[in-house]
Amino acid sequence: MSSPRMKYDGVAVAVPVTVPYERFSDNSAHWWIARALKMLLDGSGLAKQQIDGLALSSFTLAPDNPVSITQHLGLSPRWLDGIALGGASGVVALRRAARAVQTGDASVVACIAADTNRPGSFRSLVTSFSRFAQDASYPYGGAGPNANFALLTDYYMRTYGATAEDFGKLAVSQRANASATPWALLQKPLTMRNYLDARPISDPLRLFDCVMPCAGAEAFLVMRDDMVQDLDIPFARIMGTIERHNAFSEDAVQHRGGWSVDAAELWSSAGVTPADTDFVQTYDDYPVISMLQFEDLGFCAKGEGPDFVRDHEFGVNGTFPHNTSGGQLSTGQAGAAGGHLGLVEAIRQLTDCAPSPVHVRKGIGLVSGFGMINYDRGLCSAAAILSGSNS
Amino acid sequence: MTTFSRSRPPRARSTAAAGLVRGAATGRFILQRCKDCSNLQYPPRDACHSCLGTELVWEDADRRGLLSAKTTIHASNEPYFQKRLPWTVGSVASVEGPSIVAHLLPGCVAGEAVVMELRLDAAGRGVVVARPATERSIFTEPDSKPHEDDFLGDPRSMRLLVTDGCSMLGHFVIAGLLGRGVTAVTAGCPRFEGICPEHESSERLNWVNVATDSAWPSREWYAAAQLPDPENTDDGRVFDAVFDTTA
Repeated sequence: MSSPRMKYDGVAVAVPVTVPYERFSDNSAHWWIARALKMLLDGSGLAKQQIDGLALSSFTLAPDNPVSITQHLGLSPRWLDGIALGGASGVVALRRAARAVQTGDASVVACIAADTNRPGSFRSLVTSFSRFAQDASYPYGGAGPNANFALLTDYYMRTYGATAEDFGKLAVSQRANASATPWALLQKPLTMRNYLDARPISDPLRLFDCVMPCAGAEAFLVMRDDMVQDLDIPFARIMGTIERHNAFSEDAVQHRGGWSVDAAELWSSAGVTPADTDFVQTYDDYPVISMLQFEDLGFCAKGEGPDFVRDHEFGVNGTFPHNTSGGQLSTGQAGAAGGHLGLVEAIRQLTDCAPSPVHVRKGIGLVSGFGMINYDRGLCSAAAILSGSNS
Repeated sequence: MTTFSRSRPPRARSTAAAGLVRGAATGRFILQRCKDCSNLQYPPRDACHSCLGTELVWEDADRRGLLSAKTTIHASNEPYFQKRLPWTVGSVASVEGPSIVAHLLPGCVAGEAVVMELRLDAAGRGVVVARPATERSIFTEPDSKPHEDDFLGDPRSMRLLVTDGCSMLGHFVIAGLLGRGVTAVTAGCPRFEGICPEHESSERLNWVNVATDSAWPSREWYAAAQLPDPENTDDGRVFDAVFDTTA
């Protein structure tokens, strides 16, 4: 039995920003990081010198690494973390930055994820994504994560009875949520017919099951609670967080993620239950993984994902507001920024600046992350429960 | 450097994955096993993921498995596969434990038994190929890929090239091929001048010097080896199959 986790007292989360996405960009990751950092300063009223912590996630910095960015952008932080956990990067940045602030190692941590996207850069990312992928999965069709998630989806459908329409319902409702999100690259309304008739990518996945790679940045600040109050800017609080890597490695196919190891502790450490949440932001590079998160985070039992989807409406005014900005499936996947998107949207919802606000009852939301298909499954899972400052 | 233009599957592999080429050369289904705890693992690693032992040997493994999941790919990042779509792969739960992503020959059904083998692909690399455990007459679409002939079959009557016969892997591959009765192996010797004195060419094995900075399959590599230019052959091939054993 592990010891109880320390609360996140004294920590505020603020200034959710998104640098508007572009399908392809001639600009570097550095440019996107600079834009995000500028938006954090403009949104907080802080000077650049006051940023004394930096948590950075990017796949396209090469040959640079996070410390290179300090010189590139004239920062001198006393705390620096490069978080290379793909879709789990946002929540992991949040929880590490929060502890740095609590211990006094930093006062204000800029958590930034940014990636550029040039024609061909997605291919170069997936060809050498990891050693196991290079040796044992990419040479099998060269389809990258599409094929991995196709295998997960095929297994999940046969094991738990999910249908294409169940996945389609999530994609369609996210597209509707994206209609108010100015930076969403895909805003054309999507019908179930459009979803089902779309071209096959890797059976059973169709076009609108797959995220579209793009360029963009997402960022937020983690800082001392007294500073955020002096600045008089809206903020959210952290109620509980978890991360887990390489869970259930013996499962033949990934049908559950690391969340199910830690979910009970997440809810108990936050002192709330799934029924208390006003919204959920899952990591949604493919709909099947959202369904795994509903199950593994305790919103329904394992295998009940399909029924859960059939029983709920996922719009901002629905019974289960989900991926309220449209998620990556509608806004695009800006590399590592995809791992911050849900968190940034959650902070927006809890600080009343979301383009599509949910009806807030308790001011509590859940964000979850998933990342790094190292061979045949995603290795990283993470989740955080946040509350509004008045909750 | 001009690169021989015909597309091939991805070639990059770690050093640990070399055993797969050995398996393809010898016709054996060998996987990495820990000498200390006998754990069988895949993908290849540099240490046992169970006991952290670092003495790993490639040993015969059980070929049988259950096809956990299957997908037919309609969109690939790789030109080689783009020309051959749709292409079917799957995840096999091997009876000895590890999950193995494999090319699927026609007739494999998700949830049913398959048998695996190591075969040489068009990049000169060893890959896992699965087929249905029970042969039966099955309806398959004529354009379904992969086919048997997308991988090297019986090598005996083939003109074969081993890109680096001097490497440890090259030695294993040549021995494996000769042991299977292959009659026409060409082996590259990357020594700076001439051919290593211990190499003896025979009726079945011909050594060529390939001292060049260019890697197979570039035209420069063939020129350095004084082999025919692949772009001047009818089908772009000087050999029927190539075992890429270059580190």
